[in-house]
Amino acid sequence: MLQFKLVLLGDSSVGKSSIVHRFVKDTFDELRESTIGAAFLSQSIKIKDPNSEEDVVIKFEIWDTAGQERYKSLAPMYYRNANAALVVYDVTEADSLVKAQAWVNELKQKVGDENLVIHLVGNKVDLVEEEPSKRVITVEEATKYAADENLLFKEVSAKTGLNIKEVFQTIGEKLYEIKQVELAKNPGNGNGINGDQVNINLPRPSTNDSTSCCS
Amino acid sequence: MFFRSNDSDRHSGFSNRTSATAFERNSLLGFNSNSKASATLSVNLNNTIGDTSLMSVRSLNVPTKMSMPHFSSNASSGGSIRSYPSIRNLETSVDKLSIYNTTIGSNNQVVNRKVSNGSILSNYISENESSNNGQENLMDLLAESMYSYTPSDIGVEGYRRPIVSNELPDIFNTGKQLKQENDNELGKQDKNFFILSSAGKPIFIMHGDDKQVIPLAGIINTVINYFQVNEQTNVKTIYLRKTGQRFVFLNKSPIIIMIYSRQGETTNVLQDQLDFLYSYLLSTLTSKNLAKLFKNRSNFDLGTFLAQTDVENLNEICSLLSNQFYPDIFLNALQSNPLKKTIRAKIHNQILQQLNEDSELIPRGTLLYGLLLTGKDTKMTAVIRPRGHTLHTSDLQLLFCLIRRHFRSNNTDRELWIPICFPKFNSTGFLYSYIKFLSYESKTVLVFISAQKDAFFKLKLFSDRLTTKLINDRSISKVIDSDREISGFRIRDIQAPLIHHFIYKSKRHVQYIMPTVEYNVKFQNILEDEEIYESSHSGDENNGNINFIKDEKAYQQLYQMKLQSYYRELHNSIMTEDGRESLNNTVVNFINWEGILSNGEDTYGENPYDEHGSIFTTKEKIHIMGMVWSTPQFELYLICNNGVNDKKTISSSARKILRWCQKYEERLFIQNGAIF
Repeated sequence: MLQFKLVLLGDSSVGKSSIVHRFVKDTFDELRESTIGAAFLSQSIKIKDPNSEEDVVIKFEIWDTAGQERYKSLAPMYYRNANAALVVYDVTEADSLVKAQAWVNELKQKVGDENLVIHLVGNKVDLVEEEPSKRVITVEEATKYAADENLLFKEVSAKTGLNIKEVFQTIGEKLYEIKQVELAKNPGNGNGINGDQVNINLPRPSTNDSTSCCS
Repeated sequence: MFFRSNDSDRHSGFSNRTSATAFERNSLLGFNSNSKASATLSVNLNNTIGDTSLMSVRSLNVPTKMSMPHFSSNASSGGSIRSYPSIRNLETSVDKLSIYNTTIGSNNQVVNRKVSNGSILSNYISENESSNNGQENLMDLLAESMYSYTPSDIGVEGYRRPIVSNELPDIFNTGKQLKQENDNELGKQDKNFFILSSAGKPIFIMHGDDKQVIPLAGIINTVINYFQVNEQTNVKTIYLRKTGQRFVFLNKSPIIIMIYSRQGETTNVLQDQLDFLYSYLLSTLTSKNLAKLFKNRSNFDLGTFLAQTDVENLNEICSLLSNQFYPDIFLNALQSNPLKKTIRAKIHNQILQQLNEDSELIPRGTLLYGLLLTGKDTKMTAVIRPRGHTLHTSDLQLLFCLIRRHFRSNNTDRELWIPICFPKFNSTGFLYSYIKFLSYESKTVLVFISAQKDAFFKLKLFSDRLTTKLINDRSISKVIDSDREISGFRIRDIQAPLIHHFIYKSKRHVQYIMPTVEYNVKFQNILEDEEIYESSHSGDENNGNINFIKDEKAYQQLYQMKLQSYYRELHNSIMTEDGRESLNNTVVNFINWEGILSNGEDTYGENPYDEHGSIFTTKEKIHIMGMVWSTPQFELYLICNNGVNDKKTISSSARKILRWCQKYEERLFIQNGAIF
């Protein structure tokens, strides 16, 4: 089993927690309390090894951060050792894309890992389907930005579940691909991967691996 | 003692309080006064036996809430009437207790001042018997009524519904308050909270919007500036005797907080609440950041700076302080979760053992404090603390408020890492709380507090190991991993006849206990009778009310508010004139609420609670008695069943409760916790 760290970033109330909740529990709360500080969750998915066609289990350790400006100084703690970042904006809020872009810039500057996978998502497309006039950020605009910055991109809806699983699936596959390349380069370096020998029930899940936050 | 409370602060800090009744013009701050008259009620001394020289009896203007047409003949809010009989002998017999009688009623009402000592109970039963099927064994009925059997849970746990309801009558007009709660218009509420900056910018308001507040802000500012000659003459309260409206201020430049209340709290209680709100601001910002924000910009707009989270939290806190039953604040204590001594010891041992095993992972200094909380009212099950360290109760109450908010969604498989400043511990910096929900059903929460902002993964690992250990122990897992909320005890566990509910605070532990609050579910009967219900409420404008009635939570809240009102008056009665608690004296007070609740036809649809939420039919006489017994060791507050007025029985039940609490002290209160 492979473990990857993923952090969610974005302006407040763009739906970060709802996206995670949809991914982990496959449900949606209309009235969700806003996140204080940060919440930590984990969820596993299966992907197919493109060569062997075998199932590979990938476990995401997810930091769902509070979007508020005030907690910004804590953010580095959450993204420091991340393998992937999900940067979220709200398709009905122009300002939220600006904030998302700021997060992308910060990640590119502060995270040394050039293999960091950044996935941009535009949330709340369900609102736009109901009422097209609510859309203020077009797919084209976001797609272009994502392409320029070399980001993965999808529009999603945590409420309906549209594209949520797909986003995490894509991130998982991408991370697996990167890991395979890395392994091919440095076969000795386990770096968080112990093939299929890791028993997830062992009481030491993450501190022994070098990608952990407290190493 | 490992918690500190405000008791000590109170006795040093508030000696200079000036109670200003300067503004008799109630229109001053724009609130509509509903009151046209104030009834003058006197303290009834008929039943005062023994030494009355110790009592200070005053005639008080009791604020009554009038001009509520649909409720005009009902008993309405009585103000706090206090007397301070100080009886130094703890073993006071009932004959020597000073008893005073508060009669509540509106002007038009024939007020019954007579205290009857007869066996009202038997009358009560036979009256009710005829309306129910009379085949029940009379002895059963008597026993049930005497021990306050829970009327709920029929078929679930097999308890029988008592024929005699133990429901509390709504003499404080709580139903109306609750309804107003949904009304956001300024001035309609019984209680409101305002947070402003010293420059007059609104920061937070519980009911109302900024537009309504801005003119008010100016007035509040003027009042603050006009009276604040210096610290000594700082006006802290404005009390309008005629209307019972009270405005209490806290000036912590750059922040001004004001509470407006008609609920009858003492200034002192409201000041604690102001302090709590201010503490929340500090807990989210720290005093350092707050000062920094306002340093160069005195007109800084903190309102927009505060995030959605803060508004949600402030709303939650204000709601706790105004329309929920939350004794923690006025008692300055935390609620403990009664637990078998051996099980609690086992939990504490397991924690210490795990700390020992993980001494490399969690070196000294990493963990400041730990808590295991149970139930939606965050009762303490276990405490982990370093030797010699204490946390202030209000700091923990702030944390508990944050945790309670998360009980709403069952999204509990996540672990939280929350920066929080504990103002009483250190108002300049943040601590970090690791919060893990062990069971959504039993609402069990594990909390670790650390000063290190990157300690999350260490604490998570420690928590994973500890949890495994705790859950592997069957006796412990029964407590923390049960599939429902089973914690606590019930009033019927104690052989204390005629007592509806009580609160016992152990001053040494700074903890309190009370029976599980089980609201009366009598209304389900009414709802079962859907036909009558629907036909009587077919009008359009009542639809909102119907939904409200059906909302079980609203009923629960109403019941809690009723409890809160009774306890508030009991608590007020032991406060001295300047709002201090008499720490060293023994005080025993009885309060007698009497009145006639009537629910005439004309009230239909106006106040859903009083028609359907209560069993009290038209012109029901109510008679509620409460007792408070305060000594240097403990405080005992109790509320009797409706109709009980035999002080001898009440005192004997009070003594039974006391004996029970003392006998099981080690079970009821956390003695030391796990000390490392």
